Amino acid sequence: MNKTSAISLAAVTVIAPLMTLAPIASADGMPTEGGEDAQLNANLEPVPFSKMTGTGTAHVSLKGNTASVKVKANGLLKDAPHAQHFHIAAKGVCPPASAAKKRNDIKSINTTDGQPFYGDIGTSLTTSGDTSPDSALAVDRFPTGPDFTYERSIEVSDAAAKSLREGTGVVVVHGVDVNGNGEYDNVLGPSDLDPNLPSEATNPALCGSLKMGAKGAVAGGEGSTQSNNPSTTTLAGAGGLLSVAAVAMYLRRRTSRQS
Amino acid sequence: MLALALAPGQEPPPAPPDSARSPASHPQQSLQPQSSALPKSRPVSISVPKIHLKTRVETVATAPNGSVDMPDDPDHAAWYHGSPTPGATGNAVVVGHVDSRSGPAAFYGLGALRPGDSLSVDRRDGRTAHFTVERIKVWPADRFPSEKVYGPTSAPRLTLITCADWDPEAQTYRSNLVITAHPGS
Ligand SMILES: [Cu+2]
Repeated sequence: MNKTSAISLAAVTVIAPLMTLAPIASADGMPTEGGEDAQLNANLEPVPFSKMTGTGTAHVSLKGNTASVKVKANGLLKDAPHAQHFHIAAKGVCPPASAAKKRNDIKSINTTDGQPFYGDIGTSLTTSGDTSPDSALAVDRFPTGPDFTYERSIEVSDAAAKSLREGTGVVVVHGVDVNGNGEYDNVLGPSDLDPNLPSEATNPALCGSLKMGAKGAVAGGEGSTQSNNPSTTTLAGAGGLLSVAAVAMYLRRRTSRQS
Repeated sequence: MLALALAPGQEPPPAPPDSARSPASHPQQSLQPQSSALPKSRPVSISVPKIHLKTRVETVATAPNGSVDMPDDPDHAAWYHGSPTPGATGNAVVVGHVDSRSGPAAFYGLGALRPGDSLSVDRRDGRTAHFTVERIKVWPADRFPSEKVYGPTSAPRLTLITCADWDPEAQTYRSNLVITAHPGS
């Protein structure tokens, strides 16, 4: 185990007892240090012109700066590494088809083309070790295709935590095979991130905005259909002289807004 | 009893099956790409033939308490804006009232649904997303598995939510009835 993951494991071990001592803070949704706990979800969809047919999902549970990350993806290039990141602090959306440019006469969206929409890399979702933007292209520490499930608890930067809480975090999984030849090659030229890599290796493949998930049961009833609800009994009693249906109709018309 | 005798239309809503309360395991969602997924398009109406329901679908956001807001009109259903549109990839959430202050509301009959029943959602793009009921669960509000109910899926799914378990003491519903459906009819 290298130094960085040892540190993040140590951090988790220290945080756990603190959470046990102060469970009220998170149960009430009160801010813990660094902001409120957040549950974030993303549906990952193919980036336009990536020729991807796969999909995926991402879930992030954020407590302070600790992000428990789960990414599931499918339909990626087989046996190839797929860099994945939180992109942060821009519009918080995935690039539309209009972001594409022609390279070698083929329309494509490279990582830079998407930046105005999903922003810069805030966190590298590596399988081990460093998770900073420095590891953006640490190809030996990213999941490989075609399908993967990635789970890791990591410490994110203040900037990344802030962006995730604001709803401008985007999960991007990179690595495409637009000519379908089963490998990253130079069909789209060199990568905009590292000229030593083919563009196919770093172009965005799947993308999804991380949105705050809904929490808790819905309030979808007033109880008028419950026989032991006194208000119903009163209403039905009052209706004894009239037609019950007429009362129901009358009340139904009166009903404009409910919880 | 008086209410029951005088107002047959205001009986308590149909009860979900007993299995809705068993702590059944949730099967792992499929990771296979779904060829049956439709593109994104907002829902317009929902039809559930078994309970003679066809009603408009409003759009709602997150409620102040973090849950999903409810439709303004209790006779309508509502699609949660923070979820994918019904028929598209992911977990589309549609909510509705079981009753109002005056009687049954849009999702009054939901408890009568059983696995295999079909329903459909008409969308703004003119296409109809067909679904088959897969699972019926009743979750207590104080132990509500938000992540399971609202969390994303990699295949298209429709999740319908309404209230269940009237608490006469507290004069409120204690649980949610959660119905999940997968594409196909
Ligand atoms: Cu990236």
